[in-house]
Amino acid sequence: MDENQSILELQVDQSASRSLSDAARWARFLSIVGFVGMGLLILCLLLARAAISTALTQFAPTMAVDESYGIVVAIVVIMVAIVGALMYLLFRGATLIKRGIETKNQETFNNGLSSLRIYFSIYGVFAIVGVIANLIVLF
Amino acid sequence: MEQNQNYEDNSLFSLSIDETAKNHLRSLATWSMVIVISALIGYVLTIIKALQTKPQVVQSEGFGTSFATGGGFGGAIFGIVIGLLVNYFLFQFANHTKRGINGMNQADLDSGFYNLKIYFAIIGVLFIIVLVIAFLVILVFGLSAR
Repeated sequence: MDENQSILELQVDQSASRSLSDAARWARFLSIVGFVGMGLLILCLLLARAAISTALTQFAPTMAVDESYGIVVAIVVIMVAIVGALMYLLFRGATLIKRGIETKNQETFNNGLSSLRIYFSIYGVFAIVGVIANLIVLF
Repeated sequence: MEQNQNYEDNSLFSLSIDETAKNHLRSLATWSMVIVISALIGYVLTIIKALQTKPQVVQSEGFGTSFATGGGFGGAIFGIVIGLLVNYFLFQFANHTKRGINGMNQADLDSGFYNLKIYFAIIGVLFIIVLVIAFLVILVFGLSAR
């Protein structure tokens, strides 16, 4: 029975492992670029404080400089936290899938798939939210 | 302990798509489909928005020239074409993976993973192109500012 099951069982064969390893390499690259991008965004926010404050006072003259800058910082921090979490899940998923294939470790491979699943589910939720927001704006 | 023993036994041969992996892949495929459908709805809304925004012709005073602003229909179409290309591979991944798991078909599963690779590769190449363009823009502005 077990033998029959192993013959019929789906495998991560050579073709699948090659595709998954390449996918993991690209996913890791994307997540690293994402981390660097978020870092640069925070750096720009800190370095260009004066310029941002000036632009904001022209855009919304009734607001205090510190108040408007604080709102921008809060929005950016929330955005960085969300994107950072997504990039972490993508990086973890890619790393574990690649390691799982290299070491032929089922548990590591499954953990990698789990991280990638969470990444796609969060991405999916944001996609739905984006569509709803677009619909609200349009109608 | 028994589970670890099973993993070690499996690792002697090759990785298998066990029940846990199947569940993860099914969920991955479902969410991928949600992303693709949301993207398609988003593209339709973008086209509607672009069509609603009428281009305004701005007369440039004294020079007898005019140019169109607003609309950005060309840009929207360009974005949609790239989006469709990316999402096509995500759709193929979801479709083949689900079919491969449900029908226990190795070829479909392999094809699904191949499409996932193409999906990430296209996004990666697009990222590289955007980074190069951003770098060139910064370089040009930096040099012109001197």
